Amino acid sequence: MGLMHTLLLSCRKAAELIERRSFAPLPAVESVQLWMHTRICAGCKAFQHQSEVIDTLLEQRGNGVDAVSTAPVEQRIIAAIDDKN
Amino acid sequence: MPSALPTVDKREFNDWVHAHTGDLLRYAKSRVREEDVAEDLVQLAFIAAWEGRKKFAQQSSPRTWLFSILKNKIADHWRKAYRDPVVHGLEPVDAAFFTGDDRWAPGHIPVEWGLDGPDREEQMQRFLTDCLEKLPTHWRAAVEMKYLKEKNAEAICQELGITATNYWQQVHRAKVQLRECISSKMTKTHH
Repeated sequence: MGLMHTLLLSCRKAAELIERRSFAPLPAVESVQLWMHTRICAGCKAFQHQSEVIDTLLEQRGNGVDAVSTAPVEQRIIAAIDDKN
Repeated sequence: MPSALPTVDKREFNDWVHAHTGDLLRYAKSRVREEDVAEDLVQLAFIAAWEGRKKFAQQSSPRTWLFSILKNKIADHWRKAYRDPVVHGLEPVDAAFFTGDDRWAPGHIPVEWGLDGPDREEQMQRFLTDCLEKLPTHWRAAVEMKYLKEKNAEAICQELGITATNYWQQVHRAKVQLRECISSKMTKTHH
C-alpha cells in the first residue's frame, strides 16, 4: 500500500484525475499512473465505473415521455408572444 | 441570386409551440430546481426564438434550434445562481471522504453497484434527481453547465469567473457527493 501510494497516486488524486480526464486529456505520466492505480485499487476502479454511470444519467435526464398535458403552458407562451407584437 | 427564404409566420410558430413545449419543458424541469423557473425558461426561449426568427432561415430543424436556445437560457440561469454571493456560504466539507493520507475513508470506499434488475435505470434516475437537490447551488451550477454541452469548458470558466482548475474540482466534488448519495440510496433499497 505504501509503495502504491507513492508511485501510483493516492486515492484522492486518482479520483480527481478521473474527473479531470473528462475535461481534457491527461499528461502521459498521470494517465499511466491512473491506469496502474485502478488496476490495483478496487475502490477507485468502482469509483471510475460509477463516475461514468453518473455521467450517462446526467446526460439522459428529461429524455423520457410523460403524460402530463402542457397545453396551459403552451397557451401562456402563445399569449406572451402575441403581447409582444 | 436566390431569393431569401421566407421567415416563419405566427401560425407556423404556434405549431412549434404545440409540438415542442412538452419536450423542452421536461428537459428544463430535469435541469433546474423549481418547476415554475423551468416554465419561465421555456417561455423565454420561445420569445427569443420568435424575436430571432429571421436567423432561423430553415438551416436546422426547429427542435434543434429551440433546444439550443433553451440550453443557453438554462446556462444563463445557473450562471446567475452561481454568481449570487448569498449561496457561496454553503460550501460543505468534503474532506471526510478521504483519510489524512488521502485513502478512501472507512465507510466511504466505493463498492461496485449492482446495475441489473427491472426498473433499475428509472430508479437510478430518481436517486440522481434527489441527490442533485442536495448539492450546494454553486456545485450544482458547475455540474449543470458541464452537461449542457453547448459551451466548452473555457467559455464556462469565463462566464463563472473561475479558473479551469477550480471548475473541474467543483464538478469533481459534486460528483463525489452524488456518488456517495446514490450509493446510500441503493444500499437501502437492497434490504
